[in-house]
Amino acid sequence: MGHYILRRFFTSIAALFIATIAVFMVLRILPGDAVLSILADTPHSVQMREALRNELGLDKPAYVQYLTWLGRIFDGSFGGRSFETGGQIGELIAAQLPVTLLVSGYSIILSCIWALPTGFIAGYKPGKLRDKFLNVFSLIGLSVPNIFAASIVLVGLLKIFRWSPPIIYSTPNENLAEHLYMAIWPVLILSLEYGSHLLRTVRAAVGETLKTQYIRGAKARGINPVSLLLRHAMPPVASITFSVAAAHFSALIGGAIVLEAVFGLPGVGRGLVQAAIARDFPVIQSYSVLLVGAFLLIQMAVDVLQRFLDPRQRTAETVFSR
Amino acid sequence: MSYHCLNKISFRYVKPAFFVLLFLLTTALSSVYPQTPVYGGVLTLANRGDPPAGFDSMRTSSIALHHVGGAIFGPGNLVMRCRENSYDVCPYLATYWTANREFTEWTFAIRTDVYWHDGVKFTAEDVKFWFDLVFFGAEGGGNKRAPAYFSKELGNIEKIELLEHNRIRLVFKQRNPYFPEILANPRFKIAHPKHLMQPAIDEGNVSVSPLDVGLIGVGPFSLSQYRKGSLIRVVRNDSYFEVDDSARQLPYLDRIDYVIMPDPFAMDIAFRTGRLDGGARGQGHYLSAERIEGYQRDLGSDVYFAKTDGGNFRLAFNLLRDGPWQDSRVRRAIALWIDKPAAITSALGGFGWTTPDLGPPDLPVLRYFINWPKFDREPLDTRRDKALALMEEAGYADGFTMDHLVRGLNPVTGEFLKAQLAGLGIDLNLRIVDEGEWNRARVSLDYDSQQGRLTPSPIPEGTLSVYGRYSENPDAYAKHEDAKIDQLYFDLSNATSIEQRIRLWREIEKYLFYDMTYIVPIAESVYVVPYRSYVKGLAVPVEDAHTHTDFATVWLD
Amino acid sequence: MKQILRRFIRRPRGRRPVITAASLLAAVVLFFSIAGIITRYDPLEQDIDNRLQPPSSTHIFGTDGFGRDVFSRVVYGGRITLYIALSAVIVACVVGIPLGTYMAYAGGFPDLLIGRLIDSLLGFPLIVLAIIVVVALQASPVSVAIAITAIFVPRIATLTRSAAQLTNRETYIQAAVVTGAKPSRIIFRHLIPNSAGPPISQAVGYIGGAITTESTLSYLGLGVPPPYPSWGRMLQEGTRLYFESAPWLVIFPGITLCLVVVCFSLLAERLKKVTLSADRGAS
Repeated sequence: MGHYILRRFFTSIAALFIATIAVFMVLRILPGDAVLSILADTPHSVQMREALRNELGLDKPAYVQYLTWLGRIFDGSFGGRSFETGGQIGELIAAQLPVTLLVSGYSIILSCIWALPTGFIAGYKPGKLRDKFLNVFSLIGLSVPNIFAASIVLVGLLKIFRWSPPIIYSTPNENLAEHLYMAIWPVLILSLEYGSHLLRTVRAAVGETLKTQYIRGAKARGINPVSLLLRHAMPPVASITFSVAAAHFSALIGGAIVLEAVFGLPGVGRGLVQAAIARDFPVIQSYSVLLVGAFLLIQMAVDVLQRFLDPRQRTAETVFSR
Repeated sequence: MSYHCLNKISFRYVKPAFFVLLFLLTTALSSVYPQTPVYGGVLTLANRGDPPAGFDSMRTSSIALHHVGGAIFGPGNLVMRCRENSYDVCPYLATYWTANREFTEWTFAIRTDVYWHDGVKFTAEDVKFWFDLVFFGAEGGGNKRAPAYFSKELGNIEKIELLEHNRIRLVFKQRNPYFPEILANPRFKIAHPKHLMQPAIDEGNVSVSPLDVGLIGVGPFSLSQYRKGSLIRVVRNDSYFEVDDSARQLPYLDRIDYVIMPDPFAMDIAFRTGRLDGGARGQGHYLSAERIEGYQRDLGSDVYFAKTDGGNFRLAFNLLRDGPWQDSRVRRAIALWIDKPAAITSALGGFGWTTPDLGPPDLPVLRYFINWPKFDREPLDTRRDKALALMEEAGYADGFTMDHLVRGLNPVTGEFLKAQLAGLGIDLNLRIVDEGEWNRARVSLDYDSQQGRLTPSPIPEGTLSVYGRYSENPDAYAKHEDAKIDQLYFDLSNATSIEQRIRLWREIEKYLFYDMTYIVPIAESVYVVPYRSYVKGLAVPVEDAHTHTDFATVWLD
Repeated sequence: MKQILRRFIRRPRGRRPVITAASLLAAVVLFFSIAGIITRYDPLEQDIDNRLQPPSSTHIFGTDGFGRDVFSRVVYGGRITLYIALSAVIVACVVGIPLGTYMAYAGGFPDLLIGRLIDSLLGFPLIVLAIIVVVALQASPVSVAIAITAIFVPRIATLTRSAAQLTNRETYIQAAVVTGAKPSRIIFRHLIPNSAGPPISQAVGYIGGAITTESTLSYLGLGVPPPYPSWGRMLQEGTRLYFESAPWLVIFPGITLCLVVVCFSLLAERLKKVTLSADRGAS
């Protein structure tokens, strides 16, 4: 086990490095000039442009830029300064990451609360009206695009209640009520999608477990299969929940992007989109490190956990179903 | 000799002006000014985004910065646009200024009662530091800092001298008779405290930005809190030097909360449910006619709309690229064909000015330059018949293909043009690009046509950079090498009276927009910003929404 | 593969939903393909005098801010979106399935190396990767398709890899190895056909995801550039400018988008059930 963890850890680090180099190269090799993006609105001379290029270090050879950025990852600023805002990237992340984590966390928790029991119920009695209804419901839930749902929610709140969510973000410490009033709406929308995935996977897992010989045997002998089901379906369902969580963690962050903009949450998603549009290389690179690193970490943790829980050794990769 | 009085004569921005707005402004102002201002309160405004470039006004002109920058750094630098009449130049950090006979030396006397937000006194040394940064950039620790993007616009500087009695002198290599006019651009803000930035530069950190040193300015409000992506909170500067007409100290407000809302839809919803006192400025956030309906439905008379003259929507040709548009008849045909009022409703949000239907009535000749050409005023049908005849005459009755550079941020105008030109058989190939490519492309010769960027030049002499020859002015709207334009501008620079200047400017207009039709001015947009009715004392500029974002005269009732 | 198709058609209980889903899908694809015939107006033709008209007998879905017919724009927008989504997913399969099969077959170091590379790609939120690619390549239908392909290649490769790993242990594969069959023959003749089931059924679901991603990109202004219609951009314009004065500009594209994605998800669901049971049947 320890061996396995160590091996995963090192390969993950290697993958992380490769990812950063890949991102770096994609940004540098493909067409487009960051300096032009920064100076977009202003008339400027060629000298000005070159001076800015020099100032930002963009005239140095690629490997120098990469190493400089890499060095800055470890010196506390996590990649240096943003081209666009001029602020320290580390500070940006420190401000934005908690928001995204909180919203993702709430979404996962809320999804588990509503989707796990419903998935169980649906899987227990497949084919019944309840199951069919939940099937259709979850299908719609994961098909509705976030952008559409966000508009509907806001317009609905405006028209029906003449109310809108708060516009200034507060951390839970500052003002818990305002924080929740603001966060609940994107969380609802995200958990609709995420929970639908969860519901369907749990339903499938429960359905499968039902068909095993063990449960059938218990049914034949007249033992109430529910308690047995709970005992036997639990481990695979638990491992599935974790796998789905890992697999969709990145989808959650991505899904949160548009919602962050509309609902005014200053999170990582919005920061990354802005950086991409503004060709803010250091920010894109540093955020990529963060996201990929987080994903690899989560995947590793989930795999280790699964090996621990379910000795049948199903890896996260096999459960990439939606 | 003192040219102080000369400076009081107003010189217009070279864009269409409209007297009706002035009338509205005076009515609005007269309805609020008689009231007594009340101290206190929090003004909640929306802001289009996080200010870029670390709030460095030498690096960016973005409204996301300047909406906030006005409060922190003040409405101007040594000079500002007067609040009562945004076409006049008023003193701000300078008390008075003089020039020598040739207009190559300008001397400014700096106020002695100004303090930075951290308590340090503001002196002429700060002014010299700022001008040095603007014109020459800086060097430190082996690194170089680029000069400000607007350095060339201010003039060809030779040196900056610090004089005694808190005065400063700028020496230019050439005549610069309108320097205070140009300097009074609200985008040129002093956000660079010497006592904080000089040490950083000396250490080698040449790209030190105002954000790095804590956003210390001299404006009516000082920074209290900045949460990126969310909120910029500024509080009253208790040692602010400006006073109102009754010698009451400004500002009246206790605090301004700028809420960062990049999504206009979210801003609308927030405003209509009472969470905002004022809207954001910036393309995309300015209200359209349809959105205003919603505001009025929800808020009725509890909301008013500040209207400011905005950017000009135009079509400019690249005559240095082979194509049918090199024939002036083709360009004339296009100018005649376009249904300009339709542009206002569909592409400019429903607010704007154009000919032939709308347009500013004649203004007293002595006061304003009118650059809204009163050409092409016949009815649309007549114009279109003429256009078709011209195309036929030029041999392009079957049309042709022409590409068109469109800025990705706002492609609506491109869509409008494409559909319009289709009527002439012209297939307008829209090339939509992002900011970086637009910045490169608009100064290149790679595109057949484009719309050009906004230029808030206050005087016609300053428009040479957008109407002149390409080899001297790469950022010109229309790419041409017509030497006659040079001649016309040269004559203009030698004009000795206002009447002469106006007359010469009219000649340039006619040549550019009618005789040669290098550029087709289509419509002037009007920017609309909503405010709750209890927001009083707002200085609404007639033109250029970057102006008067200090909110020092605003109070809540 | 043939086995799967046979099961697909023959399976009695699951037949009805599959046919419903498949025929619905076929109807959708057909509908959008014959766009030219069913629409009366050019989606780009502007009629500013008649802008913002509510749905009527002349314009079934009403007109937009430029007076363009919304129905035509929804249909043509769907066409472009579908083309992009379909081609992106197909290319992703063409690249991903052999890749995943090779990884399962080769095992060892190549598997580890490529596997970790894929892992790092998986770590990117779909939309972020798409945004980076589109921004770098300038928005156009091609760059959007490339971005979406890049998103799904690793996912399909991973799926194929696990399916291929299972197939790899089959006796007939080992028999082929023992009899000295060339690796390429083993891969292309045996492994791929028998491992392709799960990833392909998943890929059909990915088409729905591709459509959603393309719409989100358009919503952010990074998708197919104007004036060509796109659901995402129509949603953005409609919400921002006209949600109250002209709600039909938001409702029709939005509902169409949802319906189409639901269709694809439904079909993928049915396909998965069939292939899973077929697999089990085979072993």
